Amino acid sequence: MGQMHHIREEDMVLLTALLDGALNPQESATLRQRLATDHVLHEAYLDLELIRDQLNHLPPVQLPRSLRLDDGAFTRARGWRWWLTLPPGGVLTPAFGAVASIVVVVFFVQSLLAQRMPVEPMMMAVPAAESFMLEEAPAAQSRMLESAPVIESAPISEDAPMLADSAPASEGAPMIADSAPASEGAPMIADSAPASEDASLMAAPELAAPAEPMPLSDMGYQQYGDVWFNWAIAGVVVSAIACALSLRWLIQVWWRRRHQRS
Amino acid sequence: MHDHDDQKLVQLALNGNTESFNQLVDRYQSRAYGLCVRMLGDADQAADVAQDAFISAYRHLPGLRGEFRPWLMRIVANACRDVLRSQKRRPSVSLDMTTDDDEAPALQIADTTAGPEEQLLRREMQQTIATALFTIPADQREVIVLSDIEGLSYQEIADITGINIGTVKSRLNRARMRLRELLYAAELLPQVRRLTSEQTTQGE
Repeated sequence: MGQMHHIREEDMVLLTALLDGALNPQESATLRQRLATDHVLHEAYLDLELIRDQLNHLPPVQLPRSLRLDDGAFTRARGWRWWLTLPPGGVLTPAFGAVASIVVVVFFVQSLLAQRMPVEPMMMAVPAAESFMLEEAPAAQSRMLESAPVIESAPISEDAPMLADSAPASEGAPMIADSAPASEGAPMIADSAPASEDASLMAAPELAAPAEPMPLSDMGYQQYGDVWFNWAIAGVVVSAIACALSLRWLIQVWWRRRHQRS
Repeated sequence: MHDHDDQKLVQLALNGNTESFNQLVDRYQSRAYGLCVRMLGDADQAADVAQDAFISAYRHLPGLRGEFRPWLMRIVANACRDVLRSQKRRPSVSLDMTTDDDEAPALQIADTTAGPEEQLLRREMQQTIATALFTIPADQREVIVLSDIEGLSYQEIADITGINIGTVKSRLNRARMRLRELLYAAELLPQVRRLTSEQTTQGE
């Protein structure tokens, strides 16, 4: 029975390289000369050659079943990312981006229209009876009115007895806005003190009525605008994500085509 | 030519044509399964792992750079390594490839010109090698399977396993040394070598 001769590891490395044809011609020639003279080395080489041949000739194993993927496996393999980054998902991504952009534009236009809607019709629609509530309004509420935006911006003439926003104000007539240049003696609604004796709100409630709901409607418009503004921000975020995904898709397509050309 | 076809099929699969990917599966399933079964030793488990590797390949197809075959074999090798790692944590021994007589046809000798004694010895040696493969460390086994059974080059093995060529050579060398020791221990190698040399002498 044969005895295995141990050889140095570096010699085994050389034999393995020679067996695999990984030695350069000079090293190969030197090693072959050694093999011709060194019996132990030659024996080891034959062993390695035999082992490799045996491994190389191991018959291919028989598949127990086909490994083809069914539709379910493909669906599982795709996952959700496939539909965002690749064809046919690549078709979906730009479409998603376009829809998101349209939504943003619609939101923007609607919020713009909401900001520019006229105020007067809503103010005039308020019943006159509600205006009397202002008379009993506490001082705190009156201060709110003071800070409210000016409705009446037109200069008021001294002789014009009116409360309407476009009509000139007369001397002694009550004023809606405290910032308007009113004449002396004219009582202010914004003032917490009761109106002057010569021209009080009680004397002309139907004239004071249109001016009172102004701050409320103004606040309503602000809230209305805020809602659309939030929607617009959400739309911008969604659009940005869609654009980023679309960009990534385009880069992938470009990269693949470049790679195929090269 | 084969690689060119692969690229076409990959492109079609990327465009949603699942049949194209299944053509790639048909083309490489034997190779993938062969690696799995040599690495894992369990025929059923090897089939499952190979199929999972194909599913993983389909999932990561957009990230494919270069040729399909080495890329697929890398996925298969990684899948096998994952299984072996999990088996290490929960050890279980499969003897499918080592003791099951049903596997004997897979280990038959291709050389029909050899005499009955040599055929017998060679068959015994192949069985011993198949058994011995599972006694060497997994990293060495992977390299020797890819090199001596799958016939891949050092560079291809390095690409698949993610190690450098020097490491490939040293692992391959250690694996062959280990197999040589085992075959000597089984007293098979000298007999086969003697018979082979006798046959060569008679032929001359």
